[in-house]
Amino acid sequence: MIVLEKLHKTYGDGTEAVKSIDLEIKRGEFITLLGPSGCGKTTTLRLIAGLEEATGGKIWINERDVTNVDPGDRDVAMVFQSYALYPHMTALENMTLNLTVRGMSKGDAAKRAQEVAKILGIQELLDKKPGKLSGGQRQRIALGRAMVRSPVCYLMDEPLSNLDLKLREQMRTELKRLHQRDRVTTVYVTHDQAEALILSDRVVVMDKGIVQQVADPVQIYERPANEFVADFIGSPSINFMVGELTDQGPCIVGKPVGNGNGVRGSGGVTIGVRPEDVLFAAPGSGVFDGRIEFTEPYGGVVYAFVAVEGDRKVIKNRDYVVASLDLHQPITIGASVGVSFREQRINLFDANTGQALSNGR
Amino acid sequence: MRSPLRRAFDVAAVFIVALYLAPIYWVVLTSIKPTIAINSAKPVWSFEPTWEHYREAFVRFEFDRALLNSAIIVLSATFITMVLALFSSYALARMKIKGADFMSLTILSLRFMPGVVIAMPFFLMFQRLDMIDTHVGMIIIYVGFGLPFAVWLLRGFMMDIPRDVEEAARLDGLGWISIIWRIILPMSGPGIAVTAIFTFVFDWNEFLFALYITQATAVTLPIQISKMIDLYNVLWGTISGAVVMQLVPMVIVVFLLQRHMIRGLALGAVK
Ligand SMILES: Nc1ncnc2c1ncn2[C@@H]1O[C@H](COP(=O)(O)OP(=O)(O)O)[C@@H](O)[C@H]1O
Ligand SMILES: [Mg+2]
Repeated sequence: MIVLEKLHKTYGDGTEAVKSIDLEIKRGEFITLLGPSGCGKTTTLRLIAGLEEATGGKIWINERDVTNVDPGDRDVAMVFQSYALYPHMTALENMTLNLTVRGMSKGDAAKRAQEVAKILGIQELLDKKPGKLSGGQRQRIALGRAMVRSPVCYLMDEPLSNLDLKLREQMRTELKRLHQRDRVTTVYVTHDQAEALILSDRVVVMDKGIVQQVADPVQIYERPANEFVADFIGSPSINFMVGELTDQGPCIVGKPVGNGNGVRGSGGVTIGVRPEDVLFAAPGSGVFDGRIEFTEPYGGVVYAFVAVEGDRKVIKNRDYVVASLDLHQPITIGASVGVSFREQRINLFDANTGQALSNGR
Repeated sequence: MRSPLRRAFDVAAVFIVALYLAPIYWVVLTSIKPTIAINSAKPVWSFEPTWEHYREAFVRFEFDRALLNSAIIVLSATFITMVLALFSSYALARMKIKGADFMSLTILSLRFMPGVVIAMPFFLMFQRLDMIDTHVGMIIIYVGFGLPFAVWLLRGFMMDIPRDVEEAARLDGLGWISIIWRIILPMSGPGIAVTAIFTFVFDWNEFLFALYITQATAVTLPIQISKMIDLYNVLWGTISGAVVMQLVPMVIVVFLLQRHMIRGLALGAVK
């Protein structure tokens, strides 16, 4: 188990990269740090690895306070975005150095590396140097180097981002398979939400050095803790609409949009609805009427962009309501439709703070 | 097909190489010419090759001792310079030292001083310390004078080594010494080769300090060669023979290290 306690990092130049993070990572868990570039994911990972010194807070690994322990003594293995293989050593030497340094005999280390190589399908590459290997092969060697150690935890910093799309998907599946096989605790950093949602047991969404939400992928997607998370996750992104809270629940331009999970009160709210939860009906029968301006087919679905009729600005984050429809649903560009929303899937946010109202966190 | 411009470059390259090789060719030729042929007013193209000048260098000028002295002093100095440069350039390249850039430039600027400025104080100091005309004294001077440039040069190479690789090594459980020894050293192969060549060649040819500090026991090759010119006579043949013998080790060193300069330039550390 890894515990981050009020972990803080201010770099020498004054950049506050990580601001008081509290996080408990369970044994065997695959947890992903997700967030936009510069939000402090890498810094957090490097703090856990011991490559950066914390300027505040503590790090515990298996009940041991490792805040001031050398990286080599933390029993964690890291997979770098650049792979960071030793270019002058063969793949086998790359994989066994960390074993022989710790006193294992060359023979035993090689045997262990062979076992791991078999799992990763890289037996043929063991006597080659990194310079002779392709990106995907280097990636596997780097993974193998981490695996031979059987560490407490793997730390991976965007390990797939240097691979081309096909290979990336293949390695993603491979990572998932390996994790389900061995259940080694993994802290994974990515800015790619697909990777995060597919791989993780839990996702940590970060922004500006602050944890925004920690939850399983379904929760993150369906019950975002605030507007930032709601907006960051999902593609096309969520629709934010200007609403107000009444005793009957949330309304848009005076029309109730549903039960709103029982949230009652008064004042402004932001109503968040994912594109796939936008429904079309006959004009006049929805919450408001709109005109289908254009569509974007994308594989099995088609995105419809609907301009709201009337003068009031209803959509907060763009000019259209975006609906995700089945590719074969008949729609006509220029047609008027009544827009409504799948009631249980509506998310409410405080219009001022952006915090979710529906799930109360 | 090669473009005309490319051809012109090739011709120019050949010409320049020839220009540099010509004096060497001439020296080698002179070293095996009989003295009469050397001193003749007209160039002599056909002659009976002779080893006489080489023998003369050894017999009359104790060339063997100078050769040994130079070998001991220059090899030791180069080795010590490289070891010290390896560690200090690593520190200046990597560790979070305030003003590392300024420091390495300052260190380098020591090298801009004219040699005489340093030679005199060294002479006086060594007199006090009884180190005039000793191997140790010469080694100290060469290390001291060669280190700044070596550190500066090597630091540039080390800054090009990706940080990730070292960090991977730290996580793999290597300490600082092991990282330098097992990761940095092999990865800076080309940089080390270049630096070692510069250091060796400079020390091997160095004249001024050797002139001040050595007299008999620690006399080095360049000094010994200079003794072949006296008031009345310039022994061209002997000098040429000696110069050829001075050149050979340099050529060998450069050839040995050149391999390392090329290897490693294309090592695939990342991506
Ligand atoms: N060594 C460093 N020195 C100063 N600032 C840094 C350093 N490394 C990262 N930062 C800054 O810290 C913030 C977080 O960076 P990082 O953790 O790399 O983000 P991410 O991995 O999420 O993209 C950024 O603003 C970045 O510019
Ligand atoms: Mg990063």
